[in-house]
Amino acid sequence: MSQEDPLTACLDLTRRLPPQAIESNLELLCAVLPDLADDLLGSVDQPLKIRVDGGGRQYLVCDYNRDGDSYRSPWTNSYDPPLADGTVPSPKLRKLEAAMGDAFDVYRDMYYEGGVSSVYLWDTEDGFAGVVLLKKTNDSAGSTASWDSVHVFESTERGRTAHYKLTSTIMLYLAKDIAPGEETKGEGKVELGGSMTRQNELDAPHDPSSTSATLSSHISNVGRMIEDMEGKMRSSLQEVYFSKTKDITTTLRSSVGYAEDNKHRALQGELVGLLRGKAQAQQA
Amino acid sequence: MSSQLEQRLSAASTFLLQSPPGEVNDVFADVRTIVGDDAALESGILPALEQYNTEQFIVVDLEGDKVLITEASKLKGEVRHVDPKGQRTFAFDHMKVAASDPQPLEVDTETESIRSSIEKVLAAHVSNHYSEGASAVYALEDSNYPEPEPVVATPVEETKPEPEVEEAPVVEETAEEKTPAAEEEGEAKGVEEGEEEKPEADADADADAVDESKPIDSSTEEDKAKPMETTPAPAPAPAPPAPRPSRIFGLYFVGTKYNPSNYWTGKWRSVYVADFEKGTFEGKALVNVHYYEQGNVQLSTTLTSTSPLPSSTPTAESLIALLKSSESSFAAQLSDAYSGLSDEQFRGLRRALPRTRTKVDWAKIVNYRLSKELGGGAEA
Repeated sequence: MSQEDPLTACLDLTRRLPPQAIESNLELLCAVLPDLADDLLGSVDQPLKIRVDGGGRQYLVCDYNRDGDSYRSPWTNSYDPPLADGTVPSPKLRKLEAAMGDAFDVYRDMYYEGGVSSVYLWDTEDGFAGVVLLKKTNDSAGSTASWDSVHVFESTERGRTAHYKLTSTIMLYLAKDIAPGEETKGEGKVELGGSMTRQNELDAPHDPSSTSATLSSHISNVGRMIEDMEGKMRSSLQEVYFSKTKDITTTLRSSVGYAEDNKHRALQGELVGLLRGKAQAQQA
Repeated sequence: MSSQLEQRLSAASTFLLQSPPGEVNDVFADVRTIVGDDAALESGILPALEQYNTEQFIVVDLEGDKVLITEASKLKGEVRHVDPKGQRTFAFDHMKVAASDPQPLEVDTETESIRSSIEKVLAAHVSNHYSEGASAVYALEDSNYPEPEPVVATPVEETKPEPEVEEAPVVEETAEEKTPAAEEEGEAKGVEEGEEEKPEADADADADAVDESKPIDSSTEEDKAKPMETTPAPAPAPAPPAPRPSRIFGLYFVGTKYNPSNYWTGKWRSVYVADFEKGTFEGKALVNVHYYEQGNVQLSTTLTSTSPLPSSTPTAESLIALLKSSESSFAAQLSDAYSGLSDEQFRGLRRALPRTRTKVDWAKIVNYRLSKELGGGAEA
């Protein structure tokens, strides 16, 4: 084990330790291993932070729209605090970024009915890459809930086809206070949280005939790909969070008791045996 | 020690204490790489390991018996732990997770009679209802009973040391009998020795049938009766303090299921404290689940309850009935909480489909937005 490199060990740790504490744990890892800080912040997702830009509009911040200590708003394309020479996409890509940002803002409204979205793109050697961020929180008395989507994708154009590679991470945190009821006496809290990552690749038709056609096909392709991925991941999250982890709690504690469980199973087996015997007798 | 190393050790302890059920060794391997100094880690991480083992009610083998490491098993002012069922103390290595050097422990007879009867009913309940269930019942410090006089300072007081003196030789015999058994086969599986039947039979009861707890009941009653009836032997010079009675009992138990091949682990820990004088029965359950197939999802629940005791001298059966009702309540509330989280909170975050019940028409959105963006100059 000791031959493992520290980065691998750190990443393993972030996959094991409680997701609810990812921010403080990541901060601690970066503090004790400053040389790895950039690698860690670049590869470990943490809940997105919301900021407000000069135009009073909310946007999401992450490593992809950070330059030094400043963050770029996807709506105004300017950095806060202001940077004289902050990294921005090429003018052509900025046009796509703004249009895609608007499209995902509609998507956000349709699926999330609230929340904040942001899209950031950057030029790559053979195309472009980007990240689509979506965040929604839902807090009320005695309960908190938050959803953070981070969809990182790369796009390369090959004639009339574009190839897309997508890595999606969704962080879902839910917590609820438990109060004693009429027939129940427990008091406490349940916290269910974590993250899930999935990947997908897609070749999709791409229309290079004009600037607007190019923009349009990229937005449609990325949009559908992310919409499908989020839909599938939402089902998986539902399955893992509310079915699998719940099943495990009932594995830990049997309410009727294992003796009863076994008796029940034995009885079932006996019944099956009886029915089989009966069926054989009838056949004979 | 450099401040950088100190910082890393402190971080390592913080991480270790957050280890999910059954994954402390994996976390340890990671922090070992991060700290990068095995010698410093071994000593520096020890307090965290001790805290982790104690908080997690780690189950360890002591001569073939399952014993728990808990806050209540720690001997006051000592590094050793107590195994109340075996009426013995033992040394515990938090790094190797190994118990050793069992030594007889003298107990107050009346207290022990109540404690062991609770223990038997609890053990039967826990083995039937909790996965790989393990339990222990401790007589906790009870301020209603004064602390024993320091024996060395007051050698005049002859009344108190007497009962322990009676017991001392009896327990010594047991200890002697244990040693060869442990030597012969490491796991001490031998049932030959009469005195050894107790832990062995109990282990069986833990493993499967509930009924098996009954014969054990009678045998231990006899064991307890013996020291009471034997005639006092002359007191050896340095007598330990008289065992302190108590009417406060700590009921600890744990259920675990580790299934790394299917990427999940889980642990259910509970502790109940019955205070006969106050007439209270306070419970706390901690449920942790880690599901890590293509992700990292964790459930963490804490539930507490307080119930009045049915009487000032409750029977073991009535205590366990109360405990069962509390635990069932916890399980039902956890299940309800799941429904609430799923039906209300989860649904309120992201819809499965937009209100229109159809997926997004991207081309339409794009054209609408583009015509705005490009000032109405969009083709198509």
